[in-house]
Amino acid sequence: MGSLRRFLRRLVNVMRPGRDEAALEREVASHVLLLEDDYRRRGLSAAEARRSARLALGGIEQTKELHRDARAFRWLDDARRDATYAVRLLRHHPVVTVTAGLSLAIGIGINAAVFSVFDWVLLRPLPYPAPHELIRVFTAGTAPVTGPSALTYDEFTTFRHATAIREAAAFTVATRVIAGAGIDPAHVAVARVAGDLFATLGVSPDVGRGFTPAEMAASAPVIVLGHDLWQRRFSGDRSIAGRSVLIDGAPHTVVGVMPSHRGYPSEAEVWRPLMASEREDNDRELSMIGRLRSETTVERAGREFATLAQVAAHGARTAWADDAQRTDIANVSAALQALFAAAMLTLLIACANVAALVGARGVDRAGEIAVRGALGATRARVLGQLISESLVLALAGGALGLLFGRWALTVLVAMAPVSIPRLAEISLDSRILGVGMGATLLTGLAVGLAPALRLSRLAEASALNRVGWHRTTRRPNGRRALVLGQIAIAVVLTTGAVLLTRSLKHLVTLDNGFAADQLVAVDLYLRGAFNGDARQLFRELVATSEAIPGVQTVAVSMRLPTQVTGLRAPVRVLGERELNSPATLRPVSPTYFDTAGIPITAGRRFSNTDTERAPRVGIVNRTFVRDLLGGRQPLGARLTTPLINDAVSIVGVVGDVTPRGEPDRPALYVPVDQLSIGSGYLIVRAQHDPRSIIPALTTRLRTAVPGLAVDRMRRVAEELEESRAVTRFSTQVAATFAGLALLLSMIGVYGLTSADVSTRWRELAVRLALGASRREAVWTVMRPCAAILGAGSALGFLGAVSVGPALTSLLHGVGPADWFTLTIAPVLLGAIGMLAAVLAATRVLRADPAATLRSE
Amino acid sequence: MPSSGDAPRVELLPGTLDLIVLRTLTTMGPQHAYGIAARLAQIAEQSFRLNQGTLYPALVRLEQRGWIKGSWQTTENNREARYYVITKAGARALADQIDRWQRSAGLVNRLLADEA
Repeated sequence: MGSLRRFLRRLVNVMRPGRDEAALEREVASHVLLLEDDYRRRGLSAAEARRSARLALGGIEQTKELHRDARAFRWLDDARRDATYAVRLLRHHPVVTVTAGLSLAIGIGINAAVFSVFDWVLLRPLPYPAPHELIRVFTAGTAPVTGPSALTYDEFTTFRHATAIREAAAFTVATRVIAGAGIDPAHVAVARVAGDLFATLGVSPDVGRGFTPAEMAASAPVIVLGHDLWQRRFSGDRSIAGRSVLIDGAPHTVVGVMPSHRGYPSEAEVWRPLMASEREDNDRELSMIGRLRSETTVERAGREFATLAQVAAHGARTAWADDAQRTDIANVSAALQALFAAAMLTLLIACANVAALVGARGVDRAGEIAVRGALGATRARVLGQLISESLVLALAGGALGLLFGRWALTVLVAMAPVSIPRLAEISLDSRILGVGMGATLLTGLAVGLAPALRLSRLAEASALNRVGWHRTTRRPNGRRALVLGQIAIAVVLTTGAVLLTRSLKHLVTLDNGFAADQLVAVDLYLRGAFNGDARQLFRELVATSEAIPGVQTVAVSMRLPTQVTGLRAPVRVLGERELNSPATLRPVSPTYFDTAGIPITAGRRFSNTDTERAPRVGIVNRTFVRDLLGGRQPLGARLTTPLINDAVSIVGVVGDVTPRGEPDRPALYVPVDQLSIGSGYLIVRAQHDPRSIIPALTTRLRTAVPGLAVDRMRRVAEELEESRAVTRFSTQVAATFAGLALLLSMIGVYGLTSADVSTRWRELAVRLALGASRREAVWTVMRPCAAILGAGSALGFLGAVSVGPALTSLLHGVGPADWFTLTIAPVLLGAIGMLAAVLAATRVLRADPAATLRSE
Repeated sequence: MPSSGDAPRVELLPGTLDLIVLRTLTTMGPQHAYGIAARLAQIAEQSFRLNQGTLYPALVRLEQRGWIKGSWQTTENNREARYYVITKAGARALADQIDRWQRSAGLVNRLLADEA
């Protein structure tokens, strides 16, 4: 009982060191007075009595120390005092403190941000019960061999009864327009579902319910809303169940709302049962997710699916299963791992730097440590004090770093390509903070331990003797290795950043084959919004848009110029055999080529006279002429295709469109009036900034077609930028890391050289006094630095060569073994490093050797 | 620790200081630290010298365990001093400690008698 009580009291006393100190002061003072009284009564003089009283007590300070020791926990109390001392010391060296603290803050912050993404995307299991049981199923053709593909409805009905799975569902996601009373028409991603998706996932809607078996069987028009959509469009109305909304103009009843971040697939915003027509079409468009029975494995389930697929397709198809989470992250995991590695390297460099800075200060502090040792401090005490300094530094850096990390995370998430799953969920939560704190403490120990061990030895040795100190100075080989490593890492990171930058530059300057800069595209998704003659509507929309001030030309096209794929159809030259590969049909309005900026290289463009009743005309691209016509004269050739009921005369040739450098397909452009389309894009060329016309365009289109969803109006250039997002993102991140690595390693080089100069000051002074020229003296200190820079650059070069291939998937127009890039980074770093060294060494040039020697 | 005297002195066995303080407070009633030290010196008859300051850890320890209780009072000479009294828990602990001491001392004594 008493022991526990005492333990708690001591602990409390550590927390408030000042409180009992006053009482102690008073008690010891009274004790001394009583002693003095006694001694005086025995006849001693006042001064004698005072002295004797102190002697009998055994020293006032010693008594207090004993009291404190018993009162609280000595080591804890020491730690508190060490920390206070450390803070004071750090404040006295603001430059070192700020540099070291910022290095750590950057290192820890970047790591916290990157680790959050890494953790949420790669490490955290999917947010469903028993997530390891969730699998995705894929099929592929074996005769002929095809890549992994989706399932047909028939395959799904076969697979869902596999013995390895308890529950299964399949879905296909497509864009539809949601509308209704009080809802602005908007595009939403609708997942049409077969099987019980919610039971498979193990989640049920937050509000309302899922689909009943009867609704599933009847393909009833019922929907479950995603949490975000519900918040955004229905302001989180909890009584929404039973409300009717229009999907593509058809009434659907809302039956439930999914919990936040629990929808699957994550891009879906609305779920509904698979339509009866889709079941009958049996298209290869379903993605299957299943829940394994607990006693089986993914591999065993995969073998079962393979057997089922082979039986069903008479040996022409196979199937396999993969872990659902692994499937979702497959295409980002490599990039994230590289990102994480880069962040760790940055932290490593930061640590090396701080260690170097702390170590460099050690030289100045040798005297202080030696004095402490002489005054009776044990090595353990000195070690504790030195380590608490780096811990205080790390904690300050870590706190700042986590703040910085919060900011960096928002930047990171904003920059990140949308293809990263679970992006919206990512946040700095207690788990990340815990890891961050752990990393901070480890960092503190890592940077503090080696210099502290070295310095604390002085507390034992008789280092007060200056000569003794000189003799104990070793060559700072450890620190040189650190700086060498830093340079190597910086070279690797810089090489990566330069490669990515060149790749991005290649993408930006790429010829798209059309002029994207002033284009705005509007998705004309008319289903449910308009039931008339689309051709007439298109003409009206073009006319009304062209009247907007600031608009240059307007066209309608089935696809955007950023999409080279589309309607594929077999084509033959009239009277000849079928051409050996199909062409892509591109229905466009007459002004399309001028609006998109696609050059006409021969013949004419479409005109307003190429109407429904006029003879069928077409325009081909260069790839068509080269690949399908074998280079012969295209003008005047007559083509037939099953999609158009008359022969098409070729009246012109246009250039290829090569968005993002993607090669164009053989294409046959036809007038929208002659091949009618139900939906497409309105493409608007602005005279100046395309953003400025968007508001007016929105208003005009809303008036013209009240049910039209105009939420997907965007600049075409933006679309292209998005396709570069992964490369851009990696480039920005890599450039940031490389910049930091460069900065940090230069601080390292500078620190090393100036420490070298400090420790060899005496030797240099002697050399100068004996007549060595200043240049020779400078070279003496520069030489080891140059050697380290050379070795580090070489090491980095080798590292870059071996790491390069990992970047291949992110590189466009530049290979990982690009000699220019591989050379520039080491040379650049070497040069900057020498500059840093020169800066540090110039102290030698200014010093007076005689003054130095006299001070010894 | 600073060494505090030239005369060779008998070291107190670890833990005995607590026993001594508790016993002193039981027999003499409330005492301040100096009073306890003086009593100790009186009994010891110079056979061992004690830095009076070394009493404090014991006082802190005992007070934290709840075995003694301190309060500020005035001495007969009108000086203020912190007086300690033994608590009920302290009295129980003392009985316990005396018992333990006597058993271990008895063992050692018997052992020494046998050897002699």
